[in-house]
Amino acid sequence: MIEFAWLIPVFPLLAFVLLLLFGRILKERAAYVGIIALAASFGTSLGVLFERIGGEGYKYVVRWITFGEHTITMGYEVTALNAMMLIVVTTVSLLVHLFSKQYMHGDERFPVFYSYLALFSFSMLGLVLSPNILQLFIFWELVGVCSFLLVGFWYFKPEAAAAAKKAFLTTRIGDVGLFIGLVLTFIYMGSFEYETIFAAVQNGLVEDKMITIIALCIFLGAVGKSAQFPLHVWLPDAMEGPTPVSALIHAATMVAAGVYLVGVMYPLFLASSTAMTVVAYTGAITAIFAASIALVNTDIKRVLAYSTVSQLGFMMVALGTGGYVAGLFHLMTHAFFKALLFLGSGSVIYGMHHRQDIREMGGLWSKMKITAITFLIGTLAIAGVPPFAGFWSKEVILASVLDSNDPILFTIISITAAMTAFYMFRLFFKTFTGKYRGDDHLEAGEHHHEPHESPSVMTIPLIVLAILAIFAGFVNTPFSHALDHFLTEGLNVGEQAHGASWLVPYSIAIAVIGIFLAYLIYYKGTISENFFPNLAPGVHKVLLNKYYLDELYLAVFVRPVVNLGKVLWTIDRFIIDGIVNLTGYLTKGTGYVISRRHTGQLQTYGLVTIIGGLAVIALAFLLRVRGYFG
Amino acid sequence: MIPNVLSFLVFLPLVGALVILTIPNEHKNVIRTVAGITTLVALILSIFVWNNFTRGLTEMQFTENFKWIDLGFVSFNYELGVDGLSMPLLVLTTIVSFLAMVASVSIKERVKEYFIWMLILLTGMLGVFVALDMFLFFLFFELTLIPMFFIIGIWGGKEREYAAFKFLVYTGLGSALMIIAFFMMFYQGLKVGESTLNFLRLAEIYANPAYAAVITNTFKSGLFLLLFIAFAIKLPVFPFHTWLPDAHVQAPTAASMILAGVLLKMGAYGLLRVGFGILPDQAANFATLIAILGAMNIIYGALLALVQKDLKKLVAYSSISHMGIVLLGMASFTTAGVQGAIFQLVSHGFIAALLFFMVGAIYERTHTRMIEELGGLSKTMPILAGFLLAAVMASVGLPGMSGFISEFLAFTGIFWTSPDVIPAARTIAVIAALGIILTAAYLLWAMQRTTFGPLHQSHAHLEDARPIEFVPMVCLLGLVILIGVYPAILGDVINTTVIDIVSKIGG
Repeated sequence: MIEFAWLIPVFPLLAFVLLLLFGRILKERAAYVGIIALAASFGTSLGVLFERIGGEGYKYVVRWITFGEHTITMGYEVTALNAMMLIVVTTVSLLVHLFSKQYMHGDERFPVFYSYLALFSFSMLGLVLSPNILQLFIFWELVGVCSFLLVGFWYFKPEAAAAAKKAFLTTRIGDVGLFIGLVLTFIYMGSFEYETIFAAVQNGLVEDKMITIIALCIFLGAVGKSAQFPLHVWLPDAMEGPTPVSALIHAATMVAAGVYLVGVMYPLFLASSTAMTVVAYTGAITAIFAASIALVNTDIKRVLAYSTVSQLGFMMVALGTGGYVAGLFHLMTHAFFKALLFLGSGSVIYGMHHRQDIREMGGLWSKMKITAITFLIGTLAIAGVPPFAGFWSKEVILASVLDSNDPILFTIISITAAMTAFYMFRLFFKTFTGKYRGDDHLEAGEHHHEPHESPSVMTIPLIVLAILAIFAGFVNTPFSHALDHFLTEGLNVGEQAHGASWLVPYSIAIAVIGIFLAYLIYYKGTISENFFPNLAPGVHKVLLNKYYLDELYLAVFVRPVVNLGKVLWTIDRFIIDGIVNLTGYLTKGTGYVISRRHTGQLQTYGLVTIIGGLAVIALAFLLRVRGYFG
Repeated sequence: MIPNVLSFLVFLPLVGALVILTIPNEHKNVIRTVAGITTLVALILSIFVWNNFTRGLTEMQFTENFKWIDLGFVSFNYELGVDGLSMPLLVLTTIVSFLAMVASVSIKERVKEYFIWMLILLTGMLGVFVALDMFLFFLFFELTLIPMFFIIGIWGGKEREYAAFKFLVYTGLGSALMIIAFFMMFYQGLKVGESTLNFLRLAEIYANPAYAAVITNTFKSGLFLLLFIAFAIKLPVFPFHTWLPDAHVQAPTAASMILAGVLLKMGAYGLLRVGFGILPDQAANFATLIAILGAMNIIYGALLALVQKDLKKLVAYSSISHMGIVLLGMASFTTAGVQGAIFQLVSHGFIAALLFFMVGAIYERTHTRMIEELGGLSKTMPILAGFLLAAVMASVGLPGMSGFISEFLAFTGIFWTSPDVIPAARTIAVIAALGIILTAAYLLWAMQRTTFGPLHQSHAHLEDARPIEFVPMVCLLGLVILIGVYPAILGDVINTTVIDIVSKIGG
């Protein structure tokens, strides 16, 4: 089975090609093509995982290019980590394919949507199966393009078009860093193959400073892709894309690729304490920064987007503090519960007739039961309530941070965990409990739309993901470290921290504090919703405006570059070109023949050139004959 | 094996032009067919040569040689051959030319003249890439100038005469410098008793330490600089680039495809064949300058592209930017870098041709190239918009497409360069890498405003891709993806020659 792992990305690739060619004929039947392809990929991934659990990895490569005496190969490889990732990606992708069948129903570009989804699945699976870092980069860029296409799927909306561009450009900044990191890797380690790179690092073939530079360059790519501060600005805007896309790409899989990248290159990062510190602090800053914005945002999808940014920060902190398994474990559980939350929000938006402001919601619990219950499960999971999946993975992250003996990091992560529980329950209470507020601000001509539960093709994926959000954490608990052993076996990723016993009650307490506060404000109303905004209106305003980072970037980077372009263009036209034109006019002034025959007699110019060229030669020979050159 | 296959290939288009000469003006379709078939046969011949080209040899292959004009002290020889440097460019030329012929169906006026000029142009371009004799090379080089001048001047846009004149003056100036340099090169050879115009023979003479007293390093440096400027105009290198945007914007679609796809490559080819081939040490001495100019081209072209309002002009400036990668790769004097430069010649040839074709197709329908007058084109012409998007992604350097391979190799090369060749290579490389972000910025900005966004009212009923338009679009995109997915198909042809070029410095 494992040697057929290459089929896993090929199924969706075939689906993409089929839909590209026959999408117009298939219309909404296109969904079946995608669903079947992903089901096949999922089945194969399961087979591969089971075989990997009991046995060895597998690698197959072919020659790709040779320059000088260097040869680069491409192929596919199955490792413990990517066997797990294959399951995560195919599961979420399959469920999103199902969900979209109804969610995208009636869209005139329905087959195009499915072709993009298939292309994305192909690229993401290709990324995961890559046997070397260059191939990973190739697919890394491809998933970026798919993200661009899907964010901009409703291209006629200016916001969607702008968001797509922003997503691509911002991640591109990180990718340039990654690109340079790769080139340096190849130059100093002589290869893109993981084993060769790690061997070079371990054997001290590369000086420490260069290891740090390479690791930081690579991390820059991860910062862009995983929307870490300061390159996180694209992810909230990417919510302009259809919600199933947000669930698949901008929550579960692609944005996690940055974390996966650091995981894949982990021995390199471990070799540089500077790089590890940068990873940890970038993650921590991102986590608390994004969580603080999520506290006040009122768009159901954007709250989830900031939450994703924050959770990715958690994963980075884990990796940066030596928690290899912790970071990747959280990647897995987060993929399930965040996909659940996004699809749940999709179901809400669908039921609310495409409204997504939580101020217009409320009381949906009774109107859409399955969505509400599954959403609650997802909320409990992300808030870190036992026994839901997020609790276990967050607990090992805390253990890892605690183990690093950095009180600042531990404080930031603890506070952020409480904030997470708070803003997620705020979201839940505002959406599902209380009174329905959808009719409060009806404008003239608008009439009541009764929110409704979504059909089963949408709720079944929610139920499946809810089950995963409950049980996925059990693969790695303080009582059984199954995942721990599976992921670290035969790898040099350092000792994994298993936290002190007080961490379990501690992390429960953190979650409870956040939930209780949200309960008091948004359910019971004991504390007014305006209490905190009134307490610190300035802070509230800054948070609402996302710390004014978009405005800052526009003023500091975008405008100056465009202005520089304008200045250079003026110089180009009037000075550089001006000199040429001046020369041209002078030539024409003296060249009477040319100027007189300028109109119509274009041939002259051609003849002049040829004759000119020949004349030079003739002159040269004449000089030679006369003995002019001596 | 076909005897004299290169001659056959080079002069076949000329024969086609003669045939067209005999066809009456009004039989436009016959003329188009003859031109198309001629070019197609040339394409097939070049693929035949490609298939029979022995990989892994440094020597010239398919060589032809006979005395042409003998003046006693010098003989002009008719010498042809291909190696790993010219082989890909030969195929690039036939492919782009064939597709440009297909794209020429939109030419409705003075059809006969048009195709005659196009075929003569093809002979010139093919000749440049196979000529091994300096004089022959120069003749072919000149032969491309005149047809292009007429094509822009007669079938171009509103400002065609100005653009054609500018093109001619600029590139003519380049030719003049080239012929002066060639003459000096020949003459200095003559002084040491070696009368030859052959590139390979000259390379040997110029590398011979026994002649160092006559062929001094100062002389060689001056010679290299002269050659560099001559070819820099064609490439084009900042600040000799201003002819290009005008020529591109005014030229008809097919001519833009050839200009960007092939003609610019002649500059880089000349630089590699003559400059690097004969004066490797001088090239290495100027490596820092070339690398800086390369980075400058990348950034400058990108910044100017960023503020263009005319879509075709934007693509033209992007060409300038992308040619910087060629300079950067060459200057590195590493196998990776030089191979990257050659990859970029081929890759940009296809991508630029595709982009210009797409812009032409859009202009034909909307009658505007102004970015702000376009918008939402995905709505009315999803297929064309899709291909435009693919072309843009290729230009951005998306992995899986050819542009990425050249960027990757060129940047690997420049990062790898020894500090002896270029002292601050990495600083230059990092600055140049910022161009990658700018490239994405201007291209995506253009996409956002042309194919995305709300549709312009006047463009509500536009025709999507016609069957014949699929030929260039699918072929070019297919090649771009083929090279991107399996670069060895091109790399294996180039590699040995690249090793040879790089091994010459310091030796």
